[in-house]
Amino acid sequence: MNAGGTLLEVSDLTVTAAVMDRSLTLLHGVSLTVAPGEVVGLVGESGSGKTTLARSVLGLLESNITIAGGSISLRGEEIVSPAADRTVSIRGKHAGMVFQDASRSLNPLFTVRSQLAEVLRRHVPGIGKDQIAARSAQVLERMRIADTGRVLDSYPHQLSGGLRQRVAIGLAVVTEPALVVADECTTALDVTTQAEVVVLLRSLAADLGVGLLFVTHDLMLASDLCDRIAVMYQGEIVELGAVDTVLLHPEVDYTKRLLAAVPQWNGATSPHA
Amino acid sequence: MTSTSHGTSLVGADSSSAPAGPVLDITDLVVEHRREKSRELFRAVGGVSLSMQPGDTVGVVGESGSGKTTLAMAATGLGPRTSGKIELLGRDLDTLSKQQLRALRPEVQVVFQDPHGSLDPRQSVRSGFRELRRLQPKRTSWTDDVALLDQVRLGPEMLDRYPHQLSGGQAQRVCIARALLMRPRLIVADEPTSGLDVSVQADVLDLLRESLADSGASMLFISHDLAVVRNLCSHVMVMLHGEVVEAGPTEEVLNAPRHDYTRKLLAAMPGARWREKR
Ligand SMILES: Nc1ncnc2c1ncn2[C@@H]1O[C@H](COP(=O)(O)OP(=O)(O)OP(=O)(O)O)[C@@H](O)[C@H]1O
Ligand SMILES: Nc1ncnc2c1ncn2[C@@H]1O[C@H](COP(=O)(O)OP(=O)(O)OP(=O)(O)O)[C@@H](O)[C@H]1O
Ligand SMILES: [Mg+2]
Ligand SMILES: [Mg+2]
Repeated sequence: MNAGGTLLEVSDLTVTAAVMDRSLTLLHGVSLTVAPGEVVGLVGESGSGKTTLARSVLGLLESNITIAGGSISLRGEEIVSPAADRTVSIRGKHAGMVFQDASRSLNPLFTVRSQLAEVLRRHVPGIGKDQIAARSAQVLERMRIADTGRVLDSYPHQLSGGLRQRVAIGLAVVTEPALVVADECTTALDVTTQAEVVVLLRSLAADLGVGLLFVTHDLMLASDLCDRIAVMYQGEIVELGAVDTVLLHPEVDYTKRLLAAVPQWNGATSPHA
Repeated sequence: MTSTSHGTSLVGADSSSAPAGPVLDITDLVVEHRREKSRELFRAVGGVSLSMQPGDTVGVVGESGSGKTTLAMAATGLGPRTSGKIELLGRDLDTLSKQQLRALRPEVQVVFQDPHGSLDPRQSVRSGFRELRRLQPKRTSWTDDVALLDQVRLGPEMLDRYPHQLSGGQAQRVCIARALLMRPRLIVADEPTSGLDVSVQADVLDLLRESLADSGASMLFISHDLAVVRNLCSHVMVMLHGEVVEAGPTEEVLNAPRHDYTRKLLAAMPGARWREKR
């Protein structure tokens, strides 16, 4: 991949957190790229730093967390570095984020309809009322939501976990940003709905050229969806490559252990390797 | 376990003939939500019956929006109920005062679908545990904080963290640890391991299985992961549009599914590509 074909470039990113009187390193010099139309899976152990990396890209870190080194660029423009944070200018318009807890993506005080309208008004200059209504309904239909009317008029707490997650994905993609960062965005979905959403995410990448950074702890899901996979372990990317290479010929022990722990369908979980 | 929808029995025989009565006995539960604008009623749970014996682990799987969470909330008295009868630990919810229901709380632990949302943001992990212990003032033996966290594969440094300083999977494990601390007779867990990678999940499932075996407690386990349900649950109940379409012993239902929707669920399990190539 040449530099011109890179949408997102994370270079040597180091991120620290202040807890009590100590400083913890959450990411140790992480590097990663996403090309337009490419789906890159970020997998790894719980607590390995996946969400931290995802949020760094959008500049949405908790207040006790600091970018200590490295940088992030979107289409060649540096948006994150220890010295600067230009993520405000890209958020929503050029990059959308789906949070791990849907309650973070959605505002409890507003209906789904008004939240979609608000994002569209903010990021699509000159958009009219009819267009807002049409695009809102359309994006929910694309999320395989059957009764879009009811869902549009609902507040988040009136939706099931899976509906909330699909609405959150809808909010992130309705403005058709170049990059979508999705953090565990299908964990609350049953497998059939998940399979449909995966098809949809693939089509966003294939048809609209959206680059997708797809955070998941589910290797099997990553194997269905992604072009490349980055495996994180304790704040580092320990393995990065094409899906088949990583899953069929894993190099590092941690990836091998993860694969060995995948529940077997005909029996119990195999013992850890 | 026995379970029916609309009076049709879906399960043949009772699994266990434990001496004590059922831990949870639901008869013809209906839950309707009112739509904000049109004031129309939306039927989220449409006539579900379920009887759980001590020691049963019942997996609830089904489509997103099929009423799983609504069922769990109603069953524990935490959510609304339109009609139907619920007996929780042998007590009819209709006859319980708010106070009596609160007294049952330690014995019925709920692990919610949204772990971050269900932890108090102003409370560290340590002070959360401390508050739970105060709920059972007469109890003398407790698992200490560090051992408790270790069981869910979290280090002692997590004790001073606040919820927003935990990763998604760490928050889920804190919720599970909190539930187990109380030594409940019934655990209702809504997607409790959905955010965990397989290696941590395997340990947490082992822990749940052991704790249940030790204490004889029962669990209603909501999950979309059929492999996990198969691994953990004695029975499974498949929900679609607010109704139970199929229920019975796990192996029976998953090996020889009778309903189309169950077959669809089985076919949609992720990882087919990888399994094939391996
Ligand atoms: N605000 C914070 N302050 C201190 N530590 C934090 C903070 N946020 C996250 N951490 C820690 O940083 C590490 C990485 O967290 P992160 O949320 O990125 O993990 P993750 O890979 O997304 O895990 P999961 O799969 O469980 O969601 C974890 O050990 C977590 O406890
Ligand atoms: N407070 C409420 N007001 C109105 N409708 C509601 C309310 N709570 C839930 N619903 C609706 O009831 C239906 C069932 O929701 P429930 O949360 O029980 O589903 P679920 O099976 O848990 O789904 P998921 O797997 O997505 O979490 C959904 O269509 C949801 O939108
Ligand atoms: Mg995370
Ligand atoms: Mg639910």
